[in-house]
Amino acid sequence: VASFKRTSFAVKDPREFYRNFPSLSPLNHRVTSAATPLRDNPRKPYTLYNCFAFVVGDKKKWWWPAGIGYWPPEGNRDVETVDELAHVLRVRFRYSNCDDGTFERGRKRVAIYALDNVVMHIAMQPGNRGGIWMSKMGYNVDMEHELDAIEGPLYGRVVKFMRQDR
Amino acid sequence: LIHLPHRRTPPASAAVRERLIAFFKMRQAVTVSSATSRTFDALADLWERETRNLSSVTAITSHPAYQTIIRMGRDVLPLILRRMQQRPALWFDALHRISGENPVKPQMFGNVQRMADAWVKWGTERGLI
Repeated sequence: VASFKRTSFAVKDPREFYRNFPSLSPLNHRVTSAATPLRDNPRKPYTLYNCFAFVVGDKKKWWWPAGIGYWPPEGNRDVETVDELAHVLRVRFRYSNCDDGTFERGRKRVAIYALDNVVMHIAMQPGNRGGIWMSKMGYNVDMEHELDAIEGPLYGRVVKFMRQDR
Repeated sequence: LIHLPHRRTPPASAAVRERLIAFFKMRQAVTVSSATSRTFDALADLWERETRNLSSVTAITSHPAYQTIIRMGRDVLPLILRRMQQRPALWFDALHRISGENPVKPQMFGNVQRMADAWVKWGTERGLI
């Protein structure tokens, strides 16, 4: 069972945030970073990244198969679907389908969320954190959470699980 | 009584005239009414607040406040560019749809800083900021 100790970080626009994720409670999540600032210092290099970038470990880009998002050449940047995210995870990052989010030591898993068949979010479960799920919430905060704690009116439900090959 | 020699003002050349016209057009472009500015700020704040938790570029740019800003037209170009200088966010689709231009190259996709810089340079060259 995951434990969620308190941290000093806070979400940006908390009223909006907790309205979007009504299942969140102090018992099922903890915020692990400040919200990505929309540039606090103009002299510093600036990056804005999202959930997919967080999952693949590239915090310098906004990964998404549409519009101005970065999408690798292995994918189809005009197809914004669960299958397209899964395709890139499969061919570029060596993931394969799996049935659920059961923790398996040493193997990273991801869960893709969709709302009315529209892909909205991806969360990851590292292989060394005892089953905790982790997410970058848009360009708001990073968070540890239970898998279903962020299901709801904004992200919909988990529709696909994948795990990284050994 | 001192008679000064008669000084004729040389007629402005076509090039000078064109430069002056461009200058005044630019002044006109960057002068945005305070009502427009207030409306834009309110819509931009709402859009930021309500899309902050999203990753989908399509969902973010489909937000009604974002679409309203696009419909406000060229008057808001300086406002978007100035806001983007301070707070880079996913304004690129709006800028492209309002201006009909796009200085963002495919190799910049995903890099918000580089895309924002390209648009700020575009706006600066046109006297919009």
